[in-house]
Amino acid sequence: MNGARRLAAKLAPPVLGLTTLVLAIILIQILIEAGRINRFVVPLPTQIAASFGRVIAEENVLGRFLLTAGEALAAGVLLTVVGIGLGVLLYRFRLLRLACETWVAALASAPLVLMYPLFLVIFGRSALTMVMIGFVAALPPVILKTIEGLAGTRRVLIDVGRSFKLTQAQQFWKILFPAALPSMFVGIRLGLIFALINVVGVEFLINFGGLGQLINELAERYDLPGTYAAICFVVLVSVCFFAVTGWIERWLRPAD
Amino acid sequence: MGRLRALAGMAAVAVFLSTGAAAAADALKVTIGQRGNWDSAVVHLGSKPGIFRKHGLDVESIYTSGRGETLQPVIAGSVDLGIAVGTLGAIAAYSRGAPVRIVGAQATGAADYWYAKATSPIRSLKDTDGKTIAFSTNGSSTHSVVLAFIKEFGLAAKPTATGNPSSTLTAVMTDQVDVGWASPPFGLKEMSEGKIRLIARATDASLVRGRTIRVIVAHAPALAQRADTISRFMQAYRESIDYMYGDGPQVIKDYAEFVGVPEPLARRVRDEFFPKSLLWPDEIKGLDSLMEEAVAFKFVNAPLTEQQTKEFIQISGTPR
Repeated sequence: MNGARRLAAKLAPPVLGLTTLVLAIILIQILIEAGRINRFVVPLPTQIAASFGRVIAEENVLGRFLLTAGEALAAGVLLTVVGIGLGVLLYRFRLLRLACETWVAALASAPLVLMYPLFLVIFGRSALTMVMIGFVAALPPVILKTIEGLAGTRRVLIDVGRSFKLTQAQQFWKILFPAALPSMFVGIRLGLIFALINVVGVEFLINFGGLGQLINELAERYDLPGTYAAICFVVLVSVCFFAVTGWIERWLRPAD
Repeated sequence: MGRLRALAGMAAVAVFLSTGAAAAADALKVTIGQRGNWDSAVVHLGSKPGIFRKHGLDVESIYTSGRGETLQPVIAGSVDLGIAVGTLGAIAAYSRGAPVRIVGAQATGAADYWYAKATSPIRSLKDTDGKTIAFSTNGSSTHSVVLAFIKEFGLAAKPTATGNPSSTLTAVMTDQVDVGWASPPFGLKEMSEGKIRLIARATDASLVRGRTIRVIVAHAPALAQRADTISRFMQAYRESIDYMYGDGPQVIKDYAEFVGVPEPLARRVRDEFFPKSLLWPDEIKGLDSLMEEAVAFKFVNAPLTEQQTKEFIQISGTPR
């Protein structure tokens, strides 16, 4: 009986989420068919669903999906390593933190995507440009959430570490790092979202690469169902990243 | 005191008359792509001497960055007309049932040009074998021109999508692309400074010379309900083109101010790159080759039928 309850409790959130999504899609379909939403601006969800086969077969979606996902992944790896490293550095040196934290926060709100011509000059017309824009634009949330996570470690845990006479490195790996992990992962997830938005945005702007370029081309052809189908693949990249980061977080913190 | 009252009375009458005139004018909302180009400045330049006002029109211009941004508000009915919409995009929208009609040509032929860095060994299209040659986006008019160059001149150049003229210039100057494209006045300053060298004009390809690459489109219900207003708009549009190619120096001053370039450069843009025939809206030319291209670039599955074409293209006003 308890097993059945546990299973029900485990399945309830995804079922609820999926049901909400399906209901939202049905609502949009009804609103478009009733003429409340212009069907020449938003295509029918059934048309979008029907266009998936065509887009996959004719537009090399798999290759484009892998390219965009690869660019976002490369940016994600970079921002995780560099972002967490910088976050730890700013936490460790108070003067540096006081001097730089505001600037990092300001950088978070800067529309760095508009600097794509500069990145094109530096990194060339290649995937590296997308990776670097994604990386730079997504860096601030990772740094800030790392600082927040480390600074929010409960005093009692740090004191326990001290009472056991842990070294600085032990203190970090045994106490601070595990305590800051949830906050760090929030930063990484935010960073990945920023990186993906910027990667797809620049692909769209410079007409190069994966899904962003495909969205641009399909929009130019006024293939609205195809355009929305391509956007769904961008969402799929995001879903994949969330699933992977969730899995990594659970692997790093098995006790939770 | 009496004089003051008379003055106030006159001012009140003037205000009344002016607001009355404004109320009498028919309002039209227009999206315009490619801001700054001579051919897309017709409404701006014609409004300066009051040509549209003379035809009882109060035109509100909304500039876009071109591409689908100009067409989409027309389809949605947010604006009445769209100027400088890619012909292939308009065909694609119509074929998918969008309420859009062509009411005039906007650009027949093209003023776009191709250039190389001044230090490059490339001096003409014949030197581009094995080199990269830029166009904006897949299926765009610049893409058609590059393909026409390759076909007509038997080139072995590699077409490369580089986006707008600004990002293309960056790509050329940093040696990422060998030959760039631009639309005047963009790049003419760099050319006069000796930084880049003209390699070819779009009209070097015979296919491009006789083809309408951009059009003026109307929201179909607006065209049905306000046919007279749109007809008057197109008449004013033609009159504005006449004015732009007249002897008066004011239009060049206005254009120079609009684009922010010196007057001699503004004059050069008109005289060297935009023959009047390029702007004239009376005929959609090269439809057969446009349809072929629309199919080739997957804009449509099949060419429009004769009946569809008749419904789709409704040249407005009185063609001359």
